[in-house]
Amino acid sequence: MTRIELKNLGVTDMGDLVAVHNCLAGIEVSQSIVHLNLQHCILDYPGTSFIVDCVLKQLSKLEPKRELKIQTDYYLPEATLLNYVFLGSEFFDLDGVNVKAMDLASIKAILIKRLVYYEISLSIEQLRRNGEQIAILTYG
Amino acid sequence: MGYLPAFFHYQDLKGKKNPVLLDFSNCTSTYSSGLTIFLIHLLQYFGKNHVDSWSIVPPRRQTWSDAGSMEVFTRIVEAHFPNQEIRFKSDLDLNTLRSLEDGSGFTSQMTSLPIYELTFSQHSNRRDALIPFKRWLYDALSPYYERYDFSLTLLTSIANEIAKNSADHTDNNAFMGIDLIESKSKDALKILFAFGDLGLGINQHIKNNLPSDRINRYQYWDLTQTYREALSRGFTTTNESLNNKGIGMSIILDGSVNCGISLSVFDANSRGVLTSIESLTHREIRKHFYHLGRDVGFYYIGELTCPALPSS
Repeated sequence: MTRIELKNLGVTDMGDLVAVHNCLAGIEVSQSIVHLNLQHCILDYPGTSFIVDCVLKQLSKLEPKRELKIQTDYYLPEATLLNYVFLGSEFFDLDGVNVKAMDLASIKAILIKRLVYYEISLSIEQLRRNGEQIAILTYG
Repeated sequence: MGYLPAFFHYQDLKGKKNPVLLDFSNCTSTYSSGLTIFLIHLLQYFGKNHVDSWSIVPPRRQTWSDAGSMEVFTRIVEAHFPNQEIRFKSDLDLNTLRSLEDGSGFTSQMTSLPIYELTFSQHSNRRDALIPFKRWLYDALSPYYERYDFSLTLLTSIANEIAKNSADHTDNNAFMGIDLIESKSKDALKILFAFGDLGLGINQHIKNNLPSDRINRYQYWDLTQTYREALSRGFTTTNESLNNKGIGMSIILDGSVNCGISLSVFDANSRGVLTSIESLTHREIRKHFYHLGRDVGFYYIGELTCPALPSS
């Protein structure tokens, strides 16, 4: 399993796109199961999607079974969280999309279609600060 | 100057010699959040009227954090009214920490962070001011995050989204004040904040930027309609771009509800208790907006009470 702790790569604010771009070279995915830990990081769009895209692009080239688990300490409704994490994503073709036209079902459909194509299962685990799971969202 | 800041009576100052005296000597406390809102009123009003000089008298009894807040308040006034004389009469006892009761049974110790001014006008890309702002906020609250249970990252994101709106939809700077009130037994922390700018407010801004297919409905767009649109995911009055997708207000609202923040918006003549709104219908929004009877400018007030972490 590959563990990526974003804080250890020097990124705590994903609104700082310079820092985000600088850390992309340090992200290496060598195994088909990846845990991307975004706890203690300030999420923002499109910066968060750049990080996730970098992981997914590498993961898509490895042997199945491919799995990405994203861990966050943000407890938000699913639609809001998906917007925050994936808006701007080239992997999911969400960089030029009209958000107004997309409800939760639409954005999920886009995510699942691409994940199924690449045979990747993706989950987003929402955690309390003591590590207790609040919710887990799964796609693909 | 606590939760509901003092209003001052506007007078027509045209053609008169106008020295201004800001006398806080009878204030028993100067919350940073209250000072922030008072500052916004001051800058809006006196930006349009000529002032010859300023005198500022701080509260008679002050804590160390009060003194810091007053000093920063004075410096911001100085920066916004250059070439005007400003006298700050200071007679401070910086070694005194006092207890205060705010009526809710919270016998407490308060730290007021000095007002933070987001200097958008100093950046060619106004959003560049958000990075140091987030760093300031995160670093200021981190010591409290070690002892109390709240989501520091989500709280920072909420402030960030509020600030993004000021960066994108106003021409001036914005201001944030935060007060951190610990209970005497240190079993709870109250975070009180105010964030405001010198813009027109959400309601008037949306009405001024109605799309061409809705402009003929301008006279029918009331406050509930504008906020119904503003709080809907995907609504934006700017051109949609990679950085602006119209989801900021939904993050502010959803984030505040899930953080446990009680968040109100003061928008011109109205106050809306945003976190009480359960659905985006006209009826529900109308239930939680109140008419204030006077134009108060534009700002948010938020309040969050956090329990202490269990001791290890």
